[in-house]
Formats: sequence, structure tokens, C-alpha cells
Amino acid sequence: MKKVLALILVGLVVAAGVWFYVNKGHEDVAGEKPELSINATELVKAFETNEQEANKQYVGKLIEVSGKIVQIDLTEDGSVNLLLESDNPMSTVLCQLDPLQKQDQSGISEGREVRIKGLCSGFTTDVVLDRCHIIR
Amino acid sequence: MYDTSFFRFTFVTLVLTFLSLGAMNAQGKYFTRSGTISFVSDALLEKNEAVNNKVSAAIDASTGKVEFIVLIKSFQFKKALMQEHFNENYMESGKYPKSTFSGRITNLKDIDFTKDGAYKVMVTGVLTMHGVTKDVATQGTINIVKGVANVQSKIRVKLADYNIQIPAIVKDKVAQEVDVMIDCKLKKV
Repeated sequence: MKKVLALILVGLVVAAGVWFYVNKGHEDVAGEKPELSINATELVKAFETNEQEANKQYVGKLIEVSGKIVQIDLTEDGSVNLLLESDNPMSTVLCQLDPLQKQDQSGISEGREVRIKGLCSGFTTDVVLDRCHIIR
Repeated sequence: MYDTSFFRFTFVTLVLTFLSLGAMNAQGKYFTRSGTISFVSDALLEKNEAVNNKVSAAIDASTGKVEFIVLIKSFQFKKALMQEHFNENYMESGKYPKSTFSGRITNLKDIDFTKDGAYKVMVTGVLTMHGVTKDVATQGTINIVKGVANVQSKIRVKLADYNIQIPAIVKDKVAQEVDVMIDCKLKKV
């Protein structure tokens, strides 16, 4: 009887372990410290000059970027993409506000200088930061 | 006599040039940085859905050139583990951070970008992902509403074509073919 109980217990623990592994949560961006800090113009320049090198340096990292909001794009599914100005009028730093860990969005407006942290995903025509949080 | 015909010729050429410039201008270029690409891979046991709404897309209405740039890490999954496997095991986004499509609208003359309406479009081009480039052809619609081009299309991607390997142990969980849906609103620039 004890053996059976022990087996059931072990089974439950294993099942719980598997369940937590499969359903583990997304990275806690809100609570994490950025690895490095840079301004929007320099970040865009880094990708324009040598994309491969910039990919190595920034992609997959939580970085802090400062700059001026030139445009706010609202997508169909309710996402907010803030575009930070760079020297090149064709390229910005596109910061998408975190859809998983919501934040206060009051006071976000075009023309405002902001500091934002987010996960760098790479360069399209813009440097893209995902899951962004406004620091200031 | 010679002089008048010469001037007439110059005048006509100038008028034609301005007219064609005007027409080109009316056609123009369309662009977005916040386009959406999503996919659902329906397999036996699991339904994986992922959305990326930071797609850069451009259409040149005068030449029919079409350009999409998509970052792999920007696909958002509901389950963190799926996202991790997608990036690390299947797409190897550290090595191949982006996917691109570069092509041309083949029935450009059927589309009037200056007139509201839904137009059927045929596109051929090359799709690059996971470091592999392949020819693709697809159809879709462009819905022109007040100067905004709403582009919708679908590309069926066979994972094996792009050397995306699914380990045998999760074979039942991951579909071998995936429908990639494109839904972008391009504004005139």
C-alpha cells in the first residue's frame, strides 16, 4: 500500500514538473535590468554600418534606448508601436509596448523624449524592440 | 518650317513627360513598419499560433515591386516554451534573424491604386528564411481604401523546403506545412 502511494506521489510530482515546464511563463521583462544603454541614433547607425556585427551585439538582449517619439502606430490587434527618431528619416527604433505585462500608457505622446527598455529582435528598415517598458 | 516642327516636338515631349511623371506620382510608393504576419501550425496534438505585427512592407505602385522584411524573434507565441523552441531549434533565429520576401506584382495593370476597391493580385518572387532562398508564387488581394492599401495574402510553407528540421519526438506536435498569413496596411509615402 505504501509503495502504491509513493508511486502515485512520484507520478504527481513528475506530472506537475512537466506541466510547469510546458506552461512556463514568458520572460519577466518588467522586472529585469537592461544589459546596456544607447541612444536611438547610435543604435540605428550601428545596424546600418554593420548589421551582422550589430546583430551579435544587440539581438536577443534587453537594452535601454533613449530618444524622441516621432510617430505612434496602433495596430489592428491593439498593439502600440512607438517610433523613436534617428538621424536617418527612413529608419527609426520601433518599440512595441509589452502586450504581456501591461503598463500605464498615459503621457505617451509624439514629440516626447523617452527612455525605453525592450528585447532587441533585429533590423528591418528599423531597429525593432519587443516587449517594451517605458522607464521615464 | 523646321523650327516650328522642332518646337512642337519638344512641346509634346515635355507634356508627355509631365503627364507620365504625374501618373507615376499618383501611383507612388506604399509603406508600413507595423504590418502583421501570423501563422497557425495545426498538428495532431497542438495548435500553435504566433503573431508578428512589426513587419516592414513596401509596394512600389509604378513598378509593382513588393518587399517584406520580418524578424523571427518578433513572433509572439502564447506559450513561452513554443516561442523558445521556434527560435532556438527550428528557425535558429540567432543565426538567421530575419526572413525576407522580394517580388513583383505580375498583373499590375489590373490594379488602380488611385481608385478605391478590392483588387486581386498575383505575386511572384523569392522567399528567404532559415538561410534558404526559394521561388514562390502567391495570390492575394489589395483593398484600396482612401489611399491606404490593405494587403492580404497567404503563403503555404513546407518546412522541409527551408531545411527546418522537426525532431522525431515532437513530430506529431508540429505541422510539416504551415500557412503564413499576411495582413498589412500600407500608407502612401
